[in-house]
Amino acid sequence: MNKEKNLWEIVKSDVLVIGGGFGGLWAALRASGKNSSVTLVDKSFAGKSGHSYFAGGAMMVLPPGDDLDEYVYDITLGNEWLVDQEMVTSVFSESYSRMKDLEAYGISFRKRGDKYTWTLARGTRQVKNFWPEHATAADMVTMLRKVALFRGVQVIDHVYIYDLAKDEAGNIAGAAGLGVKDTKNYLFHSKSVVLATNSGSYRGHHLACELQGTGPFMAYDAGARLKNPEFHYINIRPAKHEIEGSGILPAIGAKWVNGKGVHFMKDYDPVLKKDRAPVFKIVVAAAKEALKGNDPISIDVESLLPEERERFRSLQVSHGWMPILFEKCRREEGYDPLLDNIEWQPAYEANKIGIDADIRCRTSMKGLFAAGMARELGINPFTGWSITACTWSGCQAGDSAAEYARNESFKKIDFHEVGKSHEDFFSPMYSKAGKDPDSVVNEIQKVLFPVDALIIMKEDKLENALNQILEIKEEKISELSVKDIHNLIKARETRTMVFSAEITLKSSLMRKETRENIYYREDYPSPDNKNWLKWIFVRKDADDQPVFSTEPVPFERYPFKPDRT
Amino acid sequence: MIRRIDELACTGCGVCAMICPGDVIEMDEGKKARIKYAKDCWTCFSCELACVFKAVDVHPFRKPKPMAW
Repeated sequence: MNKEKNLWEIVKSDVLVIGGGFGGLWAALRASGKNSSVTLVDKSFAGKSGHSYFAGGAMMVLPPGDDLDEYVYDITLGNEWLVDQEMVTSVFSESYSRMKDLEAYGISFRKRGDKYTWTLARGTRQVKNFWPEHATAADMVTMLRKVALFRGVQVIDHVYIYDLAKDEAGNIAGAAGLGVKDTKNYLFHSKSVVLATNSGSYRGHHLACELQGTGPFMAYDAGARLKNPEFHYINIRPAKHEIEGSGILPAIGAKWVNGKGVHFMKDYDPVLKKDRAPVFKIVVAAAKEALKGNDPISIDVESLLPEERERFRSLQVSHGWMPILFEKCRREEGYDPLLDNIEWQPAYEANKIGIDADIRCRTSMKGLFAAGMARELGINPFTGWSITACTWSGCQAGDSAAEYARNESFKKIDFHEVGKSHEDFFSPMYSKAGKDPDSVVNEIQKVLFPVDALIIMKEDKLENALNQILEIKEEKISELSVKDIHNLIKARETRTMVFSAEITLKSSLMRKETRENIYYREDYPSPDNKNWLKWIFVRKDADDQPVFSTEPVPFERYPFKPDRT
Repeated sequence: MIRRIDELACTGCGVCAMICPGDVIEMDEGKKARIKYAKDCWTCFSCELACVFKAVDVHPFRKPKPMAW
């Protein structure tokens, strides 16, 4: 036993928070305000590492005087009924208080005179987005890190968590991690854990896609249930580089254009939004154009008027890198992303799969709480929803985890089990099989990125993709071998990616319908409200195989009910 | 993708290595910042923006990946 214990650098606190974005930082802040000792751990530098840091900064907020029901209805419709309306109600009920908290921490929001200014969230009729003034989401999370440190949260950067630790009764009692820089083996011993990582991606064409949130999969391994495995967030981005504020360009008048110079969105969403349609609809339309041979796809900035271009510059939320990027494109590559049409491509931004949790962010595992993108937060990636929902879930999870910790004592960690997962995690270091993680990731991307895999879905193509992924899983994953810590982490991320692809493809084969703004099955082109007002869940069975189940959306509890015909 | 860290301009303060979200940069025996895993660069410009000595240079294009069409 002592030998097993000696391996570890043990860090003890009442509450452990994994992940340093909006979800994790808010969870840590809230838990620390409740007389708990709190440790926050991040694989990079908390407050600068995740999706949050690169977000635009818009925050959906229900201001006093607006009708909560209208907001809940808009978000419910945007998710085409497949969202927990109780969660949406709770998110908006608290949103104004959170904006006020941020103001108290020094983040001011855009105002004209003494009145807030706002924009209408794309794809909604009523929901307002508030924007930080002279600041971005990056400034917001940086500030939250400072407040967390000031409140006494122990922040540990550069530690990669690879597994949850349990006590001998099987309840969550901490987590095991590896120091990315110091290579130490960390064991975080806590009474409760908040998992607040990202949900993960396949390293797509967008900078935040590089994130490999392994949180949901650690929870799955520990026995928790995951929700919405069939959904993912696909954005559209320039093929070669990043651009921020792509949603603003159509709003100021830029149109989507195909390789023949045709502004094609009028054929796909003629009545409503055209070029301002929800992003999923644009991706599907662009994909159909490409399948007809009408690629490349661009956003037509060449036909913008100079004043429209200036309006983009004034509205665009810049992280500071945009001017550098634009300047280097002009100087070194000979074009200006705001003057010249360039190719755009779908970007797999994040899985929508999340840990199933109640509105207090409690999971099915005792001691485990979920926040941020690691928690299921609905499907439609409205601008402004992510920050508000991650903030909300962080607060709920932080409160719940602290409350749980207050009534519990530290339990004995099952060192035998932790030792086994440590051995499993390190196995690619001792393997001589010779498959490097990058080559396997590239194979996964080749299966998933083609337009007819996960954008325009169809049974035979999904089955074909699934077979290829299962082949990679069986033949390549066990052969991963690496020489250093950096690549060891990539090996674990690669395994997670294969698992994520497997359950995404299997559950996409189950959902035989199309939902206009979130899900497209070419072979089942209509919504099926009779059979598919359901959620798909997945959990691990005794043989380590994923088991899927469905549950009807509990409309009997909700204020808004769909037409079921 | 990150392309260069100017050895003469780098003072070894370590900020770029500390904040890089992709663990791309390492400190060379504690003296200078060095690009170790260029192909894992997110092209987020965090390092270039954080370097007050203007030692870091990021090219705007990211590593090529399989396309959708």
